[in-house]
Amino acid sequence: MSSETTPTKANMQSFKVLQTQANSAARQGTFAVSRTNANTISTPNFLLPTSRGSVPHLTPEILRKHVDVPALYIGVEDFIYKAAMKSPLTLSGFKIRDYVSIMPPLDSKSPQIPIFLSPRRSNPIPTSQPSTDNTLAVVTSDGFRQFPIQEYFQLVSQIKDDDTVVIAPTDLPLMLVPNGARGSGVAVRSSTKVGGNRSRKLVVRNEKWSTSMLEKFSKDVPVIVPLIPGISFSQQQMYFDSLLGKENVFVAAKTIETIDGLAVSDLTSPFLPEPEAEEEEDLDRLGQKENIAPENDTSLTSASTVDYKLIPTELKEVVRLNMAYQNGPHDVLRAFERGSDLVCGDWITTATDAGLGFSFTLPTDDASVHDGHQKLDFAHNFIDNEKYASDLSPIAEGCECYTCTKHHRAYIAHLINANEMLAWTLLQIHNIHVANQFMSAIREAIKAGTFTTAATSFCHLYVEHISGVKLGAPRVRGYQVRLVGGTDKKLNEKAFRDLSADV
Amino acid sequence: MKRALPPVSKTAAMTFEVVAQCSSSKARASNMTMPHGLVETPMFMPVATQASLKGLTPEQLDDLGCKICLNNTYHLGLKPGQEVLDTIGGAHKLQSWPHNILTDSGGFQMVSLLKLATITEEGVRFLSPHDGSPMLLTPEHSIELQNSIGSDIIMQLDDVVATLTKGPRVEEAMYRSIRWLDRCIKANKNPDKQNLFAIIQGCLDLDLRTICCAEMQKRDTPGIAIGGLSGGEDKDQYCKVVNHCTNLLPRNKPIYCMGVGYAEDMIVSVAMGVDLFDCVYPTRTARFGNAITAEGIVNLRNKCYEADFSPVEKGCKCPICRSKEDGGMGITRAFIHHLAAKETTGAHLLTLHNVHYQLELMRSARRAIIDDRFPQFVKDFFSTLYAGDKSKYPQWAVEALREVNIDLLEKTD
Repeated sequence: MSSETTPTKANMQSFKVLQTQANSAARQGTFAVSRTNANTISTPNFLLPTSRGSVPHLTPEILRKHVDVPALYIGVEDFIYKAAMKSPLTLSGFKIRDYVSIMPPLDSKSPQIPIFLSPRRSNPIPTSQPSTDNTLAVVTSDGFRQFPIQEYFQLVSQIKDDDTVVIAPTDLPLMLVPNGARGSGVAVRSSTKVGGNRSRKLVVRNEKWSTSMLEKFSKDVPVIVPLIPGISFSQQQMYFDSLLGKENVFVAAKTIETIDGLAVSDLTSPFLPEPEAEEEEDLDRLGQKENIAPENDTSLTSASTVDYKLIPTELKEVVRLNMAYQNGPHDVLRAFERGSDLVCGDWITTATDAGLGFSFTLPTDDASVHDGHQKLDFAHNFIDNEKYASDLSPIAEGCECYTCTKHHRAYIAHLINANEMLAWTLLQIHNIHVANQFMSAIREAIKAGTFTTAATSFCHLYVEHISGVKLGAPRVRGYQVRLVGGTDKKLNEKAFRDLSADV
Repeated sequence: MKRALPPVSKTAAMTFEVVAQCSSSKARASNMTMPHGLVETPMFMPVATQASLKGLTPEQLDDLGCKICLNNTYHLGLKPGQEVLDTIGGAHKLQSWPHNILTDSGGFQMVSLLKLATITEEGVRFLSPHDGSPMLLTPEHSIELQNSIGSDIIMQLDDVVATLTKGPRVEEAMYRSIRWLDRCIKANKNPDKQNLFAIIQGCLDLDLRTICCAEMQKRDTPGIAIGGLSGGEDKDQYCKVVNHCTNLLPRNKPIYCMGVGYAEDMIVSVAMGVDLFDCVYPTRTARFGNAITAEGIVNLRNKCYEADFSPVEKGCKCPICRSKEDGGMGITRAFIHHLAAKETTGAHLLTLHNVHYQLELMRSARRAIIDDRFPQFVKDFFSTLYAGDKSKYPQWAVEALREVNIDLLEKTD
């Protein structure tokens, strides 16, 4: 190996900040996703989440041909069954890229689509049991499992390639309330309050898992380690010291050359049922209610509370991945304003599932222009919407995506109305295209120093939630079904029925 | 001994030219040119019931080499409805499909989906699935709807009775179908753009089929369909009816067997002189995790495929089986197993494979006919399907093919 290719701390710095903002934490940069080639992601940007290795609604062929994907997010829990080491993925010996047939885009600058590997799906389903010191609680298609951390490492060694970024396991105290506990008088809102014992456990576990991950992988691929959500920066000082090699009981300090990124998560999940009135009362009575909403406590490090100003200097210039669920473009802007570089794109698939076709752009003018005007929807709602029935215009005027150049609103409205799968394929292609344009406009605005104005203007221009839209419906898939609290009622009415009963 | 090719048939909206005939059987290869281009027969037509082929983009279907697909009149009449179709300018424009479309009459769905359909001389009376209100589908209304859809081939409304029905009802339905054809011909506003096909009825009664063939022939429609089959009859009865009809029908018109899509059935029917087929089977079975291959059906949901890293079908040239190096997706059986019934893309991938299988089967039959090696092609097809075990060949296929001078059991040494 020549001296040029020997990684040094300097040339291994994978993230470069190119532009910051005076009045917000937003920043523009580039993230080198490969140690061996020049594959980079411009930030801010999004990771496109996969489900069981496939981008929902898109076959690999459509993905390479009609969609420009900044990066894919793959949760390893989608591939393990009862035992990770006996799962088909392990037995195949394949790289994950080949296993799920991700091919290089047909017309793109980068040779391969970067893949971010994490033990859990983006927007993970809460588990029924907590993790242990050596295992991570996960949800597989076979049910709740404990995934040994060592097996995650083994599997990652096999499935990663030169364009993979790996994310260290995070002990996320995100748990389902057992059925029996509901309404029993016990405080059952499980997830948001992290007590003293719990926080010590979180620090010890994440420290061990993150430092092992760095030691094993950071020579070959970028490694992203978590901030511990729900506890303050000061409570996890020991964790930072360890990561930075200042004081580490698990690995020799010098082995840690670099940390490529930090991941922040949230302690809320759209999969957790809304607390029922009586539960709120229970919590009230037990005097716990004030503890369950820590949104404004900036000393905490959840995605919605994190203040990167408080982070150790050595960790300031690494890529920041926001793993929390973003509920639409407004949330995404807020995440970037808070200083995130990458967000998960679940909101795109969720909007597609809900029958929405994006129509937003990042405004270039001043916010006040829109005062007094009625706010616009950020998407067209194709569910039960007769106004598009004969509309031959594209989803968004001037849009250059495959859907808009080849098809029209009338077709999308018909397909949605007829419950045809193609509707979601076409919407997904369009929505990903709009998201890409949005990201690119955000990057340009940061470069031009106009991001804060543009973001404010966006919020003035577009409503945050489109009325009447029920996210997740009607294409609810198995893993979206609530795991507790009884079965949801059937969402799709039968198209045809026996009329003889009526006569 | 070579038979002479039948003369080219030219009607207002179709040119039908038989380009090759098998010298043993009745199989033929033909070129059918319609307003939206050329269709080379024999041809399987995938069913895009509601103007979309179950998850595939029209572009993906086009890339598979599909030149004609089906839409269902009944479904399009409900959604998006005639008014929308008229405003948009038809089904081609609705689904951005540049090639041909065939629509059925809507009559079959009346019978299959709605138990309470009653049929009178006027038309089919049924209850609206929207609100249960009484509605009437007449031959005129069916054609009007198909005119709004703008399909290249439109089907007459026929009086469908269950295939196994016997007695006077069959005769009544057959004669009524003839009378309805006359009404359909009169109602067709676009004979210059849309080809109206007659449908031969008569269940399993060969005498009624004879009368029907003669009467329908007199009406001189651009093409003729054999209807009232695929309704639970034995395969040998099916073959008898088809063979009987193709003997009687003119040789210079396309013959279409409705609702037939199993590979064996199609191959035997091609040998008996049928040109066109349609069936929801390949797309529906894909959604159940079944792959159609030359060696039979593979149910990829079965646990034995969870760690099978070979392609869905070895040597298959479809987009999912072809290797990545060869420009395909290189999908493994294990990955389909991983997705089947959990993510819709699994269904999309298998649909691509199955539709490709059907189209390619017909393309290779056509090549065999043109090269005049069709009997050998049929023998190879059955040999692969049954792994060379002649004792497993279905009796009905052996007998039907013997009728058209192809002996599957003949010693070939």
